[in-house]
Amino acid sequence: MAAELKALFRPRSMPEAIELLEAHGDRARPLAGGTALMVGRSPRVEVLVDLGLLGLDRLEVGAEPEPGARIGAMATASSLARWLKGAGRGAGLTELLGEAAESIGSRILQNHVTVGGNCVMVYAWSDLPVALWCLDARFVAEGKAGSRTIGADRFFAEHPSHVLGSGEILTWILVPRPPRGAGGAYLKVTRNATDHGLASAAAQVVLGPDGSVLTARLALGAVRGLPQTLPTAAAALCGQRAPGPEQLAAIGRAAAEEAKVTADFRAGAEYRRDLVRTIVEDALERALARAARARQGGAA
Amino acid sequence: MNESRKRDEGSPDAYQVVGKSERKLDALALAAGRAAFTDDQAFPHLLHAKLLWSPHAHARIRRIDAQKARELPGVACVLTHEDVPRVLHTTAGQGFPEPSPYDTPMLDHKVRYVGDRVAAVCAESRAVAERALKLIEVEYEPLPAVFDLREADAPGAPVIHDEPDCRAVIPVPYEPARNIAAKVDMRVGDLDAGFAQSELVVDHEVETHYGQHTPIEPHITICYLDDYGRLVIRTSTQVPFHVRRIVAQSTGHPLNQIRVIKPRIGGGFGAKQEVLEDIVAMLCLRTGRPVKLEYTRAEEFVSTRTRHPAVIRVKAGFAKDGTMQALHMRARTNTGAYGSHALTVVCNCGAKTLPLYRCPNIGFDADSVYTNLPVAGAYRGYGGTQAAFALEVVMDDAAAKLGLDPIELRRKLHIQAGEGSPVFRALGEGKEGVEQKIGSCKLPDCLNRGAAAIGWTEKRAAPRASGRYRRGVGMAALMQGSSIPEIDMGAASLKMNEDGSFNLLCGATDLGTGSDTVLAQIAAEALGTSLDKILVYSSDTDLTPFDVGAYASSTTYLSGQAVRDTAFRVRDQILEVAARALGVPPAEVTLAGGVARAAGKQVSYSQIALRALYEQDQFQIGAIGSAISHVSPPPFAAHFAEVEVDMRTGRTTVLSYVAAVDCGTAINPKLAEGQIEGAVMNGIGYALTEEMCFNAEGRCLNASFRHYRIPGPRDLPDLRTILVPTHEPTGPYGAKSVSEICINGPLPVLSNAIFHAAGVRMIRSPFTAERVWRALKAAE
Amino acid sequence: MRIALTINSELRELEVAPGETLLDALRGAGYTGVKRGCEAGTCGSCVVLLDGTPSFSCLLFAAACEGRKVTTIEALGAPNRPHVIMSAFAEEAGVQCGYCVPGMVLTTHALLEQNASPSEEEVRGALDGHLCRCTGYVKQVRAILKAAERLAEERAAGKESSR
Repeated sequence: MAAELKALFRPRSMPEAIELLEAHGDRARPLAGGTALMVGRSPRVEVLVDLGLLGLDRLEVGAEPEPGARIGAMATASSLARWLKGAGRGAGLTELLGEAAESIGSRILQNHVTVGGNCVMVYAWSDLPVALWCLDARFVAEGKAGSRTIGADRFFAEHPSHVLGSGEILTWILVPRPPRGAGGAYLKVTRNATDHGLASAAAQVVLGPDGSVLTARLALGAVRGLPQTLPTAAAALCGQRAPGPEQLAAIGRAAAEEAKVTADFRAGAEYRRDLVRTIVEDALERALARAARARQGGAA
Repeated sequence: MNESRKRDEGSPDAYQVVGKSERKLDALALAAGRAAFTDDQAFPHLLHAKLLWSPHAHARIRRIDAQKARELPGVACVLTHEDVPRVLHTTAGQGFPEPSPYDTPMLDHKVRYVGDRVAAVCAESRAVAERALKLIEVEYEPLPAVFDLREADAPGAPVIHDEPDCRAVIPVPYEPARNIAAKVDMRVGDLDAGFAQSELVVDHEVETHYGQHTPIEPHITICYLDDYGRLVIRTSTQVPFHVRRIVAQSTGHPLNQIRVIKPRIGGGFGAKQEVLEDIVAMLCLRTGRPVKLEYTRAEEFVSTRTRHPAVIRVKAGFAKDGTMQALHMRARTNTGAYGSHALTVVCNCGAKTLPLYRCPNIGFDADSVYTNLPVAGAYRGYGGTQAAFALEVVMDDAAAKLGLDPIELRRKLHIQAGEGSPVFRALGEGKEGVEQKIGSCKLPDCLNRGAAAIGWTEKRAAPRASGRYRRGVGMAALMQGSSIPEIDMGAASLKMNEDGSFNLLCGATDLGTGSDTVLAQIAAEALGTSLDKILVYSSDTDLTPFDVGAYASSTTYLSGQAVRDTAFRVRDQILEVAARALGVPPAEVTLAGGVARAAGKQVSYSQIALRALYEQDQFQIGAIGSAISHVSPPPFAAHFAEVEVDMRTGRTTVLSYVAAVDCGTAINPKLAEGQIEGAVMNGIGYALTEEMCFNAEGRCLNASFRHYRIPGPRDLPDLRTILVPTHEPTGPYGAKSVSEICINGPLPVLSNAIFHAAGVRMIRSPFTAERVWRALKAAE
Repeated sequence: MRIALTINSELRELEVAPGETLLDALRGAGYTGVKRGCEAGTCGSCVVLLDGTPSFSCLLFAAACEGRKVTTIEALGAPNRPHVIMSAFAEEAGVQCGYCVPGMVLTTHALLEQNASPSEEEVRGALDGHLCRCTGYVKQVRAILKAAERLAEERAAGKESSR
């Protein structure tokens, strides 16, 4: 129980929510899934502004501003995973993003965790930020001054709660539809089934008609305080045609070299670095196989 | 008592209630959320207690000022060491006088680990109590601390218990000035000569880690004064009678003014064999109001009890044919900041493992040291877990070096029915043990059936695994005990009601194990009636007879004997009344199915009870009985596992696990299987993923389920349990214990299986992916 | 603050503090079948159904549950009229200390509403938010499969008799 809490507001409109956050300044926090607030409760937080009644839990496949998925910040991980397998299949994100959503803790926890909350309150081991960064998502925030769209590189450059201004609310996450020939995968190494990752990796590749890698993106989670991308290792894959085990092993080594890795009680730095090598290889292998199938028209 | 103990129990095939998987008596009420745990009863005007925990691993409290906390509105009472009597005692809920040293006061002017008690508050709400804690001003003088059990007794190491009055209360070695909380050694035969004769000597030192029981219900106690001003302690405990005794000791409140009630308990596994209720009792006595103390999950991890970490070296000498010539175990356990169970756990390292194999020359040298880390205590397995790891890894390695199948070596050496072991006599719990011969042992069948179930022969014969994912199989043989001989005591009372039902009141403490059901089955069998006629109640120090409590694998075996003997006495009374009613001598009457029969006539139990209560020569059909044990018959088990090791990440997956167990007669087979399955999963968690981690200041870094990983439903391997029935002549209806033994399997079994799969011998637990990865790197 | 919500099909008004969890609010209102085990969404003993979805009541602010439908174990059955899932847990020895079981029964109920005949793997997956330290899960998984079977039989029998 958050003993110090003085008020919990449930605004029904965005302006009202922004107004409340502005009015209470530092003492106020938006309430999304609540998992971070409950577990890591801070005595400084005295006011919560529940975002649950703002209609931000919608999931849409849209064409504007570009074809892709519009994910409401209040959509839960479980509703996202369900949608990606059902009505949202056309977004082309089922594999990478769906795997990340389904790898969050337990099934019941996935009923609580919201996409927006998972991104703004990112922990070292959070799963969705890794997948969304890999997919080059954009983050729409609304504040008193209006709405702005923040690219993933900027959004995750530091802790997103600092990127957003006070009184600014993350409302939508836009994920561009991957082109034809794309394949993705999300993998993590854990101690047991519902554990946080000791290391996690997202890989997204696009194959050209000749089977050569047109673009590749790699992102990592759980190996340091925040997620990270590996542009250098990913770039080394581009242009390669049907990369085999040796090529992938080389990318794995490059990733391990490029990754920023820290130690904690869950794993040492040397071990984490070696895990990066392994899971980047594994994730790429899986992503490439899926891309090849997609290129051949085998996957939806 | 002896006379009734000799009574014929009948043939196992003819048992009517025993040996049947009857539904656990409280199962439906529990599944429906109705059965009341400690916190499920409402108390008006309840105060909420919170404790202030030490932020230092070792410090003297120079000054403590609770004035501001006391002045906070809503605060009812604040206690510091200045406000309570300083009575050194042990929190270990054990028989009296306890084998654990008296080194713990309710509150002290010194703190000895991060998480030690500093002060206590009770207030109108949890929130106010939490706020009050922050207002207590404490000035600490930090002292140097020691965390490594190897360094604890080094010259110049900080002395953790420098108070002059800490002491052992039974004649055992105790050297607090060297941080030695307990010490024990034993020699049989000539160890040096044994090793000198040996053609093969195998020597491994294993190291085990801090683990926590994690009952899903954390420790919780509610104290209140009843209408007559007596103190009632409603508490989640395994040892209600020890709670009464030790709270009386620690608070100075008269024992007869204390009543302990044990409602439904949300698991214990040894953690609740610890008496931590004294502070709540004191808050209640000071305020006169009901007070509740409920541990948070983080507090449960750090400030209740843990498993003794240990360094255990086993050296074994063999002749070429596999005969064991010499066996030496050196064990050191880390008891943490207080010596709760220090001596008895380290004794059991030897006592629950060394008798398993025939050997003429045996040595055991063991001690337990204080460190500035959380307090270790009783934890299912109780030293056997740590030591079986060492012994069974040595056996695995020895078999390989002797060119024998690991099962073959065990078969050749293990103790058998009719045999004794000098270890039984030499090693007890805090004193000498007892001479005993094994009355029942079907370890050979356990080995055979377990091996067949896992596919041992094929899988061991298969070519050495290669590639990234490698599979292997491993096994271990195990023993434990059933109760502490000549120390433990259980009792029960039974009375008959006019409809032929019986109230069975047990001191034995069902903490979720199903012992109420098992004991009721024993009573029903002995009384010749059905289970639904037994109304069982446990345990309440005002109402139920004494029992030491639920520990040392004693309930079914020992409390079961008490129930059976009590039931036999009641049976005798039923026979007498029936004989009078039927006009025949008692010897001609037979009892079955709630009916007494003789000479073609019959009378129901209800008629018998009505006659005894209302009609003629009235008296209450009923009895109270008790039992002690002169032996501690070991259950035996053979465990097997198949694992898959990812050679890249080091991650080990348990594919299948087989536990074949000789627990004598399984009074309730499904409940016995449940004990085995629960223990195995707990053991797998301990072996692979569960580990309390500490920083350089002694602070636990992962006191949550988020970071301390116990197995969940998706971590369950293909787990198969095989009950191998025997008939233990000293046990009730042939029963031995089953609760603890199986937690000892996974450490050695998985270590041996990982060795078979990946070629690395894991001797430091847990076998996390990173540790296996390091071992693989080192082997490259 | 005062909130109105539906608990076990009954409209209830509760007085709650702004920071109070749904767990505390429910236990305070007498729904003691909801258990406290970790207060961090990691053990599952506090699970209730929120609009039919298994949810950790320790992670929910009671005030944010205004207007929603909460189902606790008390709605599903009682010892003298147990739900099929409760009976299956009891018969298969899926109950030892039983502290984790009410939550598991609710999650099972939600699972079987969506998937009448789950595989063993689906059962384990659906239950993965629950920790049990006593049973090792073997008998609980078996109990759930048995409950599914029995509910399917009941449905089949119901169809028969309504024909």
